[in-house]
Amino acid sequence: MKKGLFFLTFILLFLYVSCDVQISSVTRNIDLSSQLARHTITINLQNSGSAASSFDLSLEASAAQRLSYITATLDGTLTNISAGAARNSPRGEGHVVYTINFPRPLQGSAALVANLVFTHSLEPYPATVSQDENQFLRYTDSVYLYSSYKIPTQTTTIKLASSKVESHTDVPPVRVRGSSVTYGPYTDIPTFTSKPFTLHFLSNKALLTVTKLVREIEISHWGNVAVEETYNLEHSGAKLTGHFSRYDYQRNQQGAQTVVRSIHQILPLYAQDLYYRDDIGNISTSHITANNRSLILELIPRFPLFGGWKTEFYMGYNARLNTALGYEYNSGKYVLNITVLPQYEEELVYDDVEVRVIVPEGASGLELRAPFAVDAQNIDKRLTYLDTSGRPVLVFNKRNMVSDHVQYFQVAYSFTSTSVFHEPILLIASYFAFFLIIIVGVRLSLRIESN
Amino acid sequence: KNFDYSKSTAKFVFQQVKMTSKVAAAPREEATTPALDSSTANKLLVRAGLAGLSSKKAGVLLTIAALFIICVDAFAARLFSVLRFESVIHEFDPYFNFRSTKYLVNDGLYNFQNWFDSGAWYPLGRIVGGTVYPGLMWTAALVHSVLHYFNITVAIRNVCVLLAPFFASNTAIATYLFTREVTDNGTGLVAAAMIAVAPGYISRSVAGSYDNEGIAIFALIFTFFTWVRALGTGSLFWSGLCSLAYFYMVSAWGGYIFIINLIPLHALVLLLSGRYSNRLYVSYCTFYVLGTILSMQIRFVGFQPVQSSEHMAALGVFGLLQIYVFVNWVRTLVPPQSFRIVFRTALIASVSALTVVGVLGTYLGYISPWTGRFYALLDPTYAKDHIPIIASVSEHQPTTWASFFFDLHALCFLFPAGLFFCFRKLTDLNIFVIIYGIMSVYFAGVMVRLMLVLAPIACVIGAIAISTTLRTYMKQIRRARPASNASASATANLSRPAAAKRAARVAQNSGKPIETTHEGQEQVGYVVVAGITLLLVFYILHCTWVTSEAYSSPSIVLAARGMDGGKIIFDDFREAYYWLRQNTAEDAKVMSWWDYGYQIAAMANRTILVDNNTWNNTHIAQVGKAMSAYEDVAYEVMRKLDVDYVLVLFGGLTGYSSDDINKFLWMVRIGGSCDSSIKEQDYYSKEGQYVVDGTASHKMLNCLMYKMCYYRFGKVFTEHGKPPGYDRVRNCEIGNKNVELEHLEEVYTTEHWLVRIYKVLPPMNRGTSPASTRA
Repeated sequence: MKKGLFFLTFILLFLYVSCDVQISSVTRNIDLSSQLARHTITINLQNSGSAASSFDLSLEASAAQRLSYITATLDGTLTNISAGAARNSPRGEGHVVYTINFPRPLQGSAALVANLVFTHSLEPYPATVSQDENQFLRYTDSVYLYSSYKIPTQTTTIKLASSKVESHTDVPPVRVRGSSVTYGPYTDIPTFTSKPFTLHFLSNKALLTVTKLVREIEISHWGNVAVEETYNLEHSGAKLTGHFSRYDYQRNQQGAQTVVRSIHQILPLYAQDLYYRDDIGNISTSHITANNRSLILELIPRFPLFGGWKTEFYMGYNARLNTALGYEYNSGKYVLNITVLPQYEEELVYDDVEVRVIVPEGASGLELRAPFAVDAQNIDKRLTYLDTSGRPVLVFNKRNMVSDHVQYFQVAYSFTSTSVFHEPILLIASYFAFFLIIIVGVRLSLRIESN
Repeated sequence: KNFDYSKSTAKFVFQQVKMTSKVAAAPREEATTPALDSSTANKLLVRAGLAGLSSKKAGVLLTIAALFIICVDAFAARLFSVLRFESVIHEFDPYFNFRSTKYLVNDGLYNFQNWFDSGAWYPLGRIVGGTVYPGLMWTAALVHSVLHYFNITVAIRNVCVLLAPFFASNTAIATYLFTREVTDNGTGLVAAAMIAVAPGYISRSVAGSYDNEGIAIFALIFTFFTWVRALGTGSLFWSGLCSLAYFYMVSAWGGYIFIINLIPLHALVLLLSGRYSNRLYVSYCTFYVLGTILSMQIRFVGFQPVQSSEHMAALGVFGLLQIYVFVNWVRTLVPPQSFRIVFRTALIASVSALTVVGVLGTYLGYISPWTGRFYALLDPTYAKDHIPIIASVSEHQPTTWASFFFDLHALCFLFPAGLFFCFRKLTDLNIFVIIYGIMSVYFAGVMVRLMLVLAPIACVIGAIAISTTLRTYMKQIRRARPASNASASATANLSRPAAAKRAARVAQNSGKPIETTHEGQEQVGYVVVAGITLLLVFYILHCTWVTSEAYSSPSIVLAARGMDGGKIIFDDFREAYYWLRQNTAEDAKVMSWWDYGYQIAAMANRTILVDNNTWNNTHIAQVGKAMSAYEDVAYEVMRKLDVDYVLVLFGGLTGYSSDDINKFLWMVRIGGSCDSSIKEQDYYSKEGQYVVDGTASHKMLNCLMYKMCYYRFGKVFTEHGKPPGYDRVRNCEIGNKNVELEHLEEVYTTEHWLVRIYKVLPPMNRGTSPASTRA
């Protein structure tokens, strides 16, 4: 067995070295209509040598920092991507390589489609606007795909938020048609080549950034799951310069272009006891509407968010335990199944996310099963109502997240069913002790002399 | 031999104390036993299935049950605002208390004691640790830490919000104890039930009203309870407890002055009316000495108890008691002729010595002159003429008759009746109730705020009236009934010792043998009892209505009914404060009228120039000057004070009447009190009216306050059929519709225009026109 494994590794290594995967053509579609840069890169691969098992997707170091989410399919089948590894190009430029492992060894030709989501790629320019001015954004990228492979032919199509393009870098052939800009086709691009282009276009999309999100999920085996989310929300678009005129804002609702009046969270239908507060109390401006699939909670901040304005708030709800908790018979563990991020109608960027799962006192063996790699993970403890030793808290952090990360994760833990009765017994015992003290105290005479 | 002697004296003193205590205890016991009629209690218990308890235990059980219900009621009656709005701190001062409590909880006791708050009174700052009565914060922090010790993780805000209702329950218990001490158990319960819902007290103790008064009334009543207990028993223990309760009161509220004058007054009255006893000596001296030393531990009070004139009465009575005792002692030693000479010499010497000390002390500044607020207490018109800052506060205004009825309702009528009953049977303790009642009526008449002090005693005296009346007439009803039954059962009852004792006591109380029933006496009894019941029912209804309508608005959130009958919430204050907190630099200085200082500090967390702790009149006058001057003069002032933002309240769009334009004359007056260039007359129209329309004076139409309130308002349509720029508070079209601001810039206005925030622009570059670039 061991020998076989070794052999297999050897073969794979050999293949990696000797395989002859080549790119026949690349088509890039960059969608800039939201505040994200969504790249859909279709790479037509050609393998003339022995079966290849993987493909290296390279990103320049600066781009890798902004990369939030990456998936790839090979002829429609999802592939496994290993974490980015820092490398240096022959010319010494630092870059990050994502190895896309094919589901089956590749021979002949195939289409590899990689989906990449970048955040903070759009820069407001000018950086400040007045209340009723439009916002213009600038996007800079390379017309060539940064690659460790030679690219015979390549086209890049960029979809913008509007058809008003202020300027674009001229790298012929370029074609601007409506809200779409096409660079290319370019031919015979050598490895690790980049040639920057900049697009400057009108976009009144609010750049909403959650600079810090803490999502807390508390399980009670008495039948409840409580979710609470604390947001630090910022409008990172073009900053509002000069004054804010309430008169103009009320008179001309369309005038204020990039302002954010509300955000809409999509909640499961079974969510109940919703609340929406901040440090100084309840925020009275929120609405709930329901359709047959979900509740839509409209969160209106205390004040409209103009560019550069910030706000902080927290919201939460309860749900029945069986909507999120299951029992795994083969491991004998309870398993919480819930999404990592809340779901919003708007496109939000989460700079820093902390998820805290609080399980009941007496639970042990907490185990995280996440759909993607997390940045940090540890076990904390919380002492609250009727606790004696504290409830274990599983905490994990991840930076730079987007709506594509709205995926389920699991936390499994062992919990004996008798531990549930810890709290009532504690209450009963303390009441008993209280009355016992009174009973004894009333009958106790501390007088020295007899009455 | 020496040893023996000392032992014997000690024993003698001990016996004396015990004797006095027995003397006092005897009438008390007699008073408590008839209180809860044991036979009625028994009947009730039999009905409740609790037979088998002795009547004494049954009485205790009933009392505890009644008190428990009263406590729950007192707590629940104060929760209107929490249920209607949310768990939020109310008004203005509570926000400061809340902020300090948070500081205390986060930074600890010592840091709190040493807290210098640089975020207030910029650039002066405020030594918070030395200028607050910390009792409230201590209490909340203690409750918070006890709860957290048991892992009950209640947020400090909720502790603060619910502290006042919790202490209202405690006040009910303290009132019960106090009244029971003075009268009997039943009256105590009635008093507790009445104070639980008395509007005069509820006004300052609803949930969210996190203010000193919330706990101080409990401390006040508890101090009085321990005082009457100490006086009744002559016990050192209770006197010591009294000074501890007094210490708590001192730590909680400036109203402790009331105690330190009332108790000496009581002692003095007892002395003058020939009711001196060793009990009085023991309790008063212990209370005064320990209480004074303890009160000086509060930094804010410091040396005042031995220096300020407000405390001198207590010292005087203390001295008088010593002289009285000394003279009595001398009298036993010298023959009557020589005594007269000794007495006269001693009297003249002590009076002249006191006068010299008093005059010297005042002259050298050791004894401080009386403060403005104190003068205002003695002469209600004083503040209006001399100190605008005190007069500008609505709660310092004299009370109207309507508010007496509003806050006391039935107690207004019961109060004189109760006083009458007190006078009919004078005791040492009754006298205290009478003095307290009369003094607090006077003070409540002078200042609305002191209605709070009147409310508890009004309840006690009212309870005495109710309980005495009911007892008289219930007796008639009850007596009429067995008379109509077989007389045999009555004799059988009489054979039992308890009934015999009771009959004897009734006989003793009325001083006459049991009367035979008159024709119709029973009916009269029914009518009176029904009348009192009705009165009490109306009292409860009134209290609930007042609490719900008048005293349960958080004032930080306003609610109104819309055209369609739906509830409209005006949350503009928090909107503006939160905007400041989130979107301005952390060290930004915000100028506003002092009313909003505490709220800005607590909710916006920004540096403020003046706040509700109005300790520096000239600093407030600076702000008043800036608000009332022309823009360029105001700009100079604001530059000097490093102001970054200016915040004004404007109700013209919504019709919110307590806005800055309506408070503006006070700003002018206070500003004018330090700067003679500001004259109140300049702000009136030619007809001498205070208006904002076209007839207003030029100064009014162009002062900074007017400009900031009405900036861009000239274009807004507020009401159907009215021209733009129609002010819905002043009900007129504004006089200056084209307001241009030169040195300020509107940075935020809330949804209903209630709060407007302006930014003070940096100075212009030299040689440029106003509208162009700035440095």
